[in-house]
Amino acid sequence: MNPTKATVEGRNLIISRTFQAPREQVFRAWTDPLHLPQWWGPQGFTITVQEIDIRPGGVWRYVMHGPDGTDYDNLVTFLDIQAPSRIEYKHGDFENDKHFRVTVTLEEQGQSTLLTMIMQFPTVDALNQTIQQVGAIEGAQSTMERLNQQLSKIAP
Amino acid sequence: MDTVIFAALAEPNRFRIVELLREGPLTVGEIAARTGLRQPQASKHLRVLSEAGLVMVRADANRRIYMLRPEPFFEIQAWVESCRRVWDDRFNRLDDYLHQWQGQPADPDTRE
Repeated sequence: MNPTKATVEGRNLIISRTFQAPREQVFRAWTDPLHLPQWWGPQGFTITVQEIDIRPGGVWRYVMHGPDGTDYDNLVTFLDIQAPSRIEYKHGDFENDKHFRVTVTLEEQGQSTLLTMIMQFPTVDALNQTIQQVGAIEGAQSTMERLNQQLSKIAP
Repeated sequence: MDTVIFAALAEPNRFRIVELLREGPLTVGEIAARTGLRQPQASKHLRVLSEAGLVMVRADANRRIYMLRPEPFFEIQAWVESCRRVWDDRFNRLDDYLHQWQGQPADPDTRE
């Protein structure tokens, strides 16, 4: 049973996952500039942080470098941050005219934390950017899987 | 993934029309009545949905009956699944990161 769930509700894409960690810690992983870039980048990609200010109105500007040499510029603008339960931001490219809005909520469930992300159905331009990145990430992942398969055939 | 599909769905009235048609085929008059749109407006939206490949129309005597085409929804579902996988991957890394921070090695078997 896969831990990350995704459904479409109305005009939103809703993604959720439960973490075995206290809410304050999950919140800190999302909102501390020392922590956030550490886990955000996908496997096979590197991230260059150009600017990071995780406060309402603050921005996180970074470039994601793909394994094929393609660069994707990303601009996250924080809209609302309410410790320890809510982060609202918009995610687009450096011009930020194409972007989509995300609301992350954290709910305490005993020793665990339920994280729910609501992504508003993007405009076409924002979607184009997302598709490119999602496609690149998926492509990289399947490349790595194929490489793993090849290596397991070669290994003694 | 064809972005024309999303452009068609991004307009709230068209989204409502699609939601209605999920329950079964309807004429433009029925759609207008159930959405509160004027008939010419409903027709205009149906034309956009038709051009995007989301709906098709069949003639029945002198009525035109609109219904959803399934193919674009498979595409949307595939895109949703891609997003889910990207976030699953990212959340796995967050999971590992949280475990390291707590001083425990991450155990993939304990992922819920």
